[in-house]
Order: sequence, then structure tokens, then C-alpha cells
Amino acid sequence: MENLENLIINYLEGNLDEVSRRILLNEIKENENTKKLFLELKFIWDSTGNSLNFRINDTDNEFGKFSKKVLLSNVKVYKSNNNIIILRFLKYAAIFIIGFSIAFLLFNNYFIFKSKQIAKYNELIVPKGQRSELVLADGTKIWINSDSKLSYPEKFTNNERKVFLEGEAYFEVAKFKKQKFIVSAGKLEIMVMGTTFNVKNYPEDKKIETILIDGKVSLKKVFARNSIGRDYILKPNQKATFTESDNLLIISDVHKKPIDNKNINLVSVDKKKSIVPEPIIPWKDEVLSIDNESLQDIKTKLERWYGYDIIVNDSTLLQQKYKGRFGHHETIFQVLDAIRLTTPIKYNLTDKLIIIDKR
Amino acid sequence: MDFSDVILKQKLKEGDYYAFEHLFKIYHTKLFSFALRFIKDKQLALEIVMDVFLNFWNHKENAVNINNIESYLVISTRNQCLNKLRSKDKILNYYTDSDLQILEYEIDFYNNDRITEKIFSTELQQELERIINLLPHQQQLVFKLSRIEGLSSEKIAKELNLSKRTVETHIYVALKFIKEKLIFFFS
Repeated sequence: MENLENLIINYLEGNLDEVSRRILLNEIKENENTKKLFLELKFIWDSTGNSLNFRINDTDNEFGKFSKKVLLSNVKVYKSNNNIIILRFLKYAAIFIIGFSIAFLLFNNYFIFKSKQIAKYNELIVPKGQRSELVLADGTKIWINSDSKLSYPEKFTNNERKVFLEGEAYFEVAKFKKQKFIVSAGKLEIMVMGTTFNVKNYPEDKKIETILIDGKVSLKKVFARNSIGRDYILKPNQKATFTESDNLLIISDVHKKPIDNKNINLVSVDKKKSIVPEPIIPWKDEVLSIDNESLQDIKTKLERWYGYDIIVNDSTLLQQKYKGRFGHHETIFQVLDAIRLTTPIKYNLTDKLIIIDKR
Repeated sequence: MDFSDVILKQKLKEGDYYAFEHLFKIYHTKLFSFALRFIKDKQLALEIVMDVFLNFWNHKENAVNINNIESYLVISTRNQCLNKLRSKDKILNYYTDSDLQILEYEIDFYNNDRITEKIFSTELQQELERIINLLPHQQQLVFKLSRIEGLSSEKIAKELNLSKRTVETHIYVALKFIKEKLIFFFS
């Protein structure tokens, strides 16, 4: 026979069977004090729980859904002289790009930087297909990869410099002894002092990766906007991978790889063969690097790098692995043509959507 | 932009969408985690919070008359949760009768304005942190592993080489300790 204490704790943890739940209910009904105790304990249980299972990105998504419901009823659509469809919001002056996925929105080959301030922070949004650079007030240089968002303060006050990253960015942090530099990437906080490193925090990937090039960083897990637990220290040429689902942070070594000219499956149209070792962070130097990756993974990379949506209709194609490097001047079609040299595929382009089939 | 409550309410009344977005982004996660206290289904909780914001938007001209926007939203969420539980449409699959009855008691607990006004306050958070740090060493460790790291008592028992029963007792005693210290909050 379970006592009250066990009933309550097991109920809170969610592993109470129906029979026991009925017993608990009876105890609560019959005794006012028991009811009060249970409710107060549950309150504390709820108030001390880590409820951060919701990321910034999810709130944006929800706001996008909200906007659709509210604004679509107030939208007038008409064509202008140059055959462009324009959305005009009847009552509201501001135009919200983020979170809006109305298919016929214009700005096709046009990148948008939305700069917006909430509580002294600016937000730099880099869409798919673009990359950007930024210099902060302290001289820190940041290269931001496609499909990323960086929140940074205009001025650095307090005794720390803090930025928030979703996506991928490469940092060269200016040395300021009195102010540590912190990158908040989802559930990880990365603290540095005059260092060069790369952070990858795309929500869809479900993991956060940090590679240290030079200097020293320490990482901490985050709970309710406070960092907790121990410090994980990274040394140069080490990579830390944090997987949210199992709460594991693993540190491994990263080596500069020489280009292996023998096993290249993809032939880059750029015939310049370099003997220089491949940098660990190729994207920063505008190189799209594919290193023995499956088409499944390459697809995601291409979508981010070039800003297209890609559908692959044959699942066997997705398992194929490729290796290669492409310069910034090369187009997605050159990449696809390179794949076509070794694999029977055909592709079709409609708007910003590419469909790949088996030939 | 630095919104004081008064300006925010005025802008909401005027239908300033940017102000509403600001409001949404501040409160959405809080309201969602609040709804999750009762509604175990994530999708349903999101729907409820969405309805709360939609209702607020549709009656934004009354924003100026609301004393405390945060409590207003929390209470709305509470009411929506109650409605959903009583309507019994989709939820039949997840909850048994005893579940529903217990949940009604839980939701009723938040009928107390003093509590709803404070649940997301920094004072409460800070108090909780302070009190947790007063716990005796092993209890504190177990409690933090449970609430902060989200580990089940079974996992904690394995980690620390204790019996599951001991872990449960630690958590229970810790909860009671915190409750005693927070007595001002509940009375």
C-alpha cells in the first residue's frame, strides 16, 4: 500500500497508474488538508521545473501563425503595373517579413536585413542563400552563415558582452579583459576572452556545435536564462557537440584536412587545384565544402547556402555520398550538374523549388 | 523601444501591431508553460495560448482598462484550460475521470489572484533559488537533478547510487521545505 508521499511524487513525475490515481483523488477529496498540501507541492514542482522546451524560433513560428489568422482577413491583394503582386495591410503600417509564409510574397532575388530593436538589442537576420559580416561596437568581427539570426546590443554596458545566435556564425572576438564575451546559442552559453571560434546552432539539426580555432573558450548549459553546472573548457582545434535530447556535451578533436584529390566524386567547374589544406571553417571564406556526406545532408547544406527548397523524389538517391568543394561564384546548378556526372539524376526548377528525380 | 505599461496599453488600443508583437513575444513562452501544467498535450496547449492571444487582440480596445496585463493573460489561459477540460472533446483520449477531477482542483488553485499575479515574477524565481540553496547537500543535489536537469527519480537513483525510494523522499522533503518557506506566498 503506497503512502501519500509516494502517491504525490509519482503523480508529479507522471508514472502513477489509474488505480493509484483514484486513491490519490479520494485522499484529496476526503481531507481538506491533504488537498491543500498536494496543490501547494504541485505548485512548487511546476514553478521549479525547467520549462525551456520552447525556443525563440518556436515563438516566432507561433507569432507567424497568429499573424496569418489576424491579418489575412484584412489583406487586400492587387497587381501593380510591372506585374508584381503587392500585399497591402489596411490598418497596420509595418510590414512583417519574419514568420510570414504567404507564397506570393515578393523580394525574390533580394536580400532583406530586418533590423529591429527590442530592449536595446538589434537583430540581424540573414536569409537562406546569403551570408553576412558584422563588426560589433568593441571591434569583434562576426561572419554569419545563411539562415541565421544574431541578436546583439548596440552598445556594450555591464561587465559582459552578450549576443544570441540561431544558425551559424564565426567569431573573432576582440580582447577586453574586463568584459567577457558570451554567445548564447540555445541551451548553451559560450564564454570567451579574445578568441576565434565557430558556433553552429540550427534548431532543425537538434544539436549545437562549437569549434575553437584559437584562444580559449568555456561552455556552460543554460537554464531559465541562467547558466548552471560545470564549465567545459575547449582548447584550440577542439569541437564541442551538445545534443539537447540526451543533454550530452562531447568534446572531440578537429584536424585540418589536406584535400584528397584521389577520391573526388564531384568535379568542381573551377579547375584551380590547390594543395593548401582545407580550412576547418570553409564557409567563412565563401567555399561550400562537402566532405563524404550523403545527399540527404548535402540537400540541407544547399538549401541554406543557395536559398532554394529542394525535394528529392527517390529515397535511394538520398543515401549516395559525395565529396567536393565549390567556390562562391559557382551556382547551385553547377553543383547539381557535378552530381549528375556520377549519378543518374535529373532536376527541375520552378520558382525557388528544385525537384530531383532518378533519370 | 522601451514600453511602459501605459504606453503599451494605449498602443494596443490603437491597434499597433508592433506593440502586440512585443507583447506576444514576452508572454507566449510563459503562458505556454503555464498551460502545460494542466494540459499535457503540447499541440493543445499551443492552441489554447493562441486562442488567448486572439481573444485579446479581438478585444484590444479594452486593454486600457486592464490593471495588470500579465495576470489578465494568465487568468485567460487558466480559463481556457478549464473550458477545454470541461468540453471533453479531444481530451477524452488522454485523461481519465480521476485525471480530470484532479486537474480541476489544480486549475481552481489558480483562482487566487495573489498567486496568479506573482507566478512569473522575478521575486518568486529569486526566492525559489535562494530557498533551494538552503537545502541540505544531498537533498539539494537530488532536487536540482530532478527539476533543473529534468531527470526521473529512477535515473537519479542510478546516478547517485541510491534507492528510488530514497530519491523520492528527498524530493518530497525538499518540496515541503520550500513550501514552508514560501508560506507568505500561499496564505
